[in-house]
Amino acid sequence: MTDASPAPPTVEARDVEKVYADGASAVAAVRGVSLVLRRGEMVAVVGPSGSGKSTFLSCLAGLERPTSGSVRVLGHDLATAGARTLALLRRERIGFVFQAYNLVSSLTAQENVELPLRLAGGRTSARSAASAALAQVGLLEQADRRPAELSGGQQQRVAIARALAVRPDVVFADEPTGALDTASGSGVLHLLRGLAEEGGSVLLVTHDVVGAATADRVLVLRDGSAVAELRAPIPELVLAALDGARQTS
Amino acid sequence: MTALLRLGYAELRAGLTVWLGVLAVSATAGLATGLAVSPVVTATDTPGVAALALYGLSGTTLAFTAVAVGITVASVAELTLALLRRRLALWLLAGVTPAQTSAVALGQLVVVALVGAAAGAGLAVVAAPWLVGLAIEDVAGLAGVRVHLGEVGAAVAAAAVVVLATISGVRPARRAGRIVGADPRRDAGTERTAMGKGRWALAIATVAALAAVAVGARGADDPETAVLLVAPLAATALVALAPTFAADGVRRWTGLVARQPAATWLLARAQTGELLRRSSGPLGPLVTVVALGGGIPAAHVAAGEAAGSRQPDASGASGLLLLLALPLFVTLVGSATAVVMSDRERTTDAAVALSVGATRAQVVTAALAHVLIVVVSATAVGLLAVAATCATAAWAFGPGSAVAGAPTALASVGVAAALCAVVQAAALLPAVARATRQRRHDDAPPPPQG
Repeated sequence: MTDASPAPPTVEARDVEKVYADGASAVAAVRGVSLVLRRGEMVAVVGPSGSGKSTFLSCLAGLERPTSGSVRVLGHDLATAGARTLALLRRERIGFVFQAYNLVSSLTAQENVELPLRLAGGRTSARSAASAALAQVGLLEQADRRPAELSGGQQQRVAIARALAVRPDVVFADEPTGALDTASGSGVLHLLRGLAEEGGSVLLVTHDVVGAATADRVLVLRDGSAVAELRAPIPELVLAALDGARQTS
Repeated sequence: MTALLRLGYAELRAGLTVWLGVLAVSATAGLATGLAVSPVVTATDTPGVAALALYGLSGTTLAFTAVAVGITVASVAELTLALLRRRLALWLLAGVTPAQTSAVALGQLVVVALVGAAAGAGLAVVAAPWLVGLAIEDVAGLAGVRVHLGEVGAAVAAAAVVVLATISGVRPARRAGRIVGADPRRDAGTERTAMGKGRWALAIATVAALAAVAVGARGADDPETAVLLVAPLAATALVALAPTFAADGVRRWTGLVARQPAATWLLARAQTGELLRRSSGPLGPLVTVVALGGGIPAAHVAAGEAAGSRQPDASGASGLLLLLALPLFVTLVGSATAVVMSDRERTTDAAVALSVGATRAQVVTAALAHVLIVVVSATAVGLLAVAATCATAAWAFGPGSAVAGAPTALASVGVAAALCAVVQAAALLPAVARATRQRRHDDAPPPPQG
């Protein structure tokens, strides 16, 4: 896959493979996929169920170690980076948004958003930064509520606020709108798009065709391999690419 | 019916950590109750003065053990159903009726408690001649007495534990089967433990008994026994009233520690508060350890001072050992088990913390901070029972005796609190290590699960 944008890369993945071995059998979830993600760019990864898109994102985010290939995030080779380096990256320069929100159930929305900032030692600035992030997602008035007291859409917006509060260089989002209604999902995508427009990078895994079309590029996976890349996509083209991938998988 | 039995069995397997905790606590309770009952059983077929000595020894031992077993079994039963409430909420979504859900949940608790209690009481049959015999061999009038428990004694001990577990589980089981709103899973996440009529009745009765014992200690035929009874009665009242103050109390004092807390303190504080909001079970056994561990020695020293004795006598030490050992054994096992049972939620929170940049050291520090918060909170509450003991000793024997007992009380509380902290940390750290362990060839934390 080639790339003509002059902006510096934040994520560089070369020939990433991930094989899960279980005794005598082995399953290749990702087969030699490459991707370069640049500053100010939002890239969506789509594909049929089982195409390896979530595994690919996990490899790029450092949540899974590829079987082969290389991944560099913000200049760090994930294969050689130590545990402390990875923790610092996750804390200060990378944001994660998961389909299951993954908020700490015993913390309030405010405290969940403050968490990475406090882990970084920024106690005095954590509160104000978290409040600003919650205001950005429209949840400042729910700051003292716990996750169980919020709707699914509100919980996902808290998760995004937590990702945004650290002003990350790159956000990895795995099906962030999967459990949300159309309106809430649209709001989440708008926030992610806003991050890219402010100079950050967003890698989004989604099965939502309309959501994918908000990205600058769309990478289509099938059976662990990249089969197409769309630039400045519209929903109809994304849908056609997905249908093509489904029919031949 | 078959479907419900299958569901109950499947859930026992799925929630294995929690149910193994119930098994461990009920086995420990069965063992301790059996050992405490063995002097009574032995006395029934022992002639003369020895029988009287056995009855005298067994009375307070049984009372203290009963309190410790009661608090621990009740706490763990409540904690069990609180931890399983979200899973039980899924049964409601699947169409199981509230009554069926409550019945199956309570049935699981009773079955597991029965198996554990029977195993523990069976072990007591074997262990009583050796353990209790060793404890009383230096007691005057009991040399050569062969302690035994027998099948009937073991059955009574096991039955007592099962009855306790059943009574303690009725209310939480009924709550587990209650649909509060449209989404039972959501309500299970916001459910809070509360004072029910049974709890209020127990608290009022215990406070009344405490007042009667304390006031009547002066001029009583056996003032030492009256003073000894203050600590377990006060512990029972405090544990019964725990839902009214535990969660808020922890929130308030931990909020005083730092205006801008570190992330590890924030996590530990929030997790402890949330756990206590859902169940005061984690606190009960620890409060009992501190109350009995500090109150019993304080009462013994105060009584000895009042009697003018300067050297501890062997029979007093042996009796004290039996009085302390069984309750402390039960409550320490209960507190450690409560920690292990809460493992799953701690693991999930640890994974989330790691995913947002916590280091392993920070996750471990948060876990140790949780232990500190729980132990300090339990010690503060248990100290109230110890203070009540010292106050009653001052009333019964005079201020001098109470003052004599105070250093022993404080030292004993310190030892009890340290023991609690060590046991809790030992139970907690393996789970934390598991949650943060490196996967093969991979430094990344396991992805958080929904």
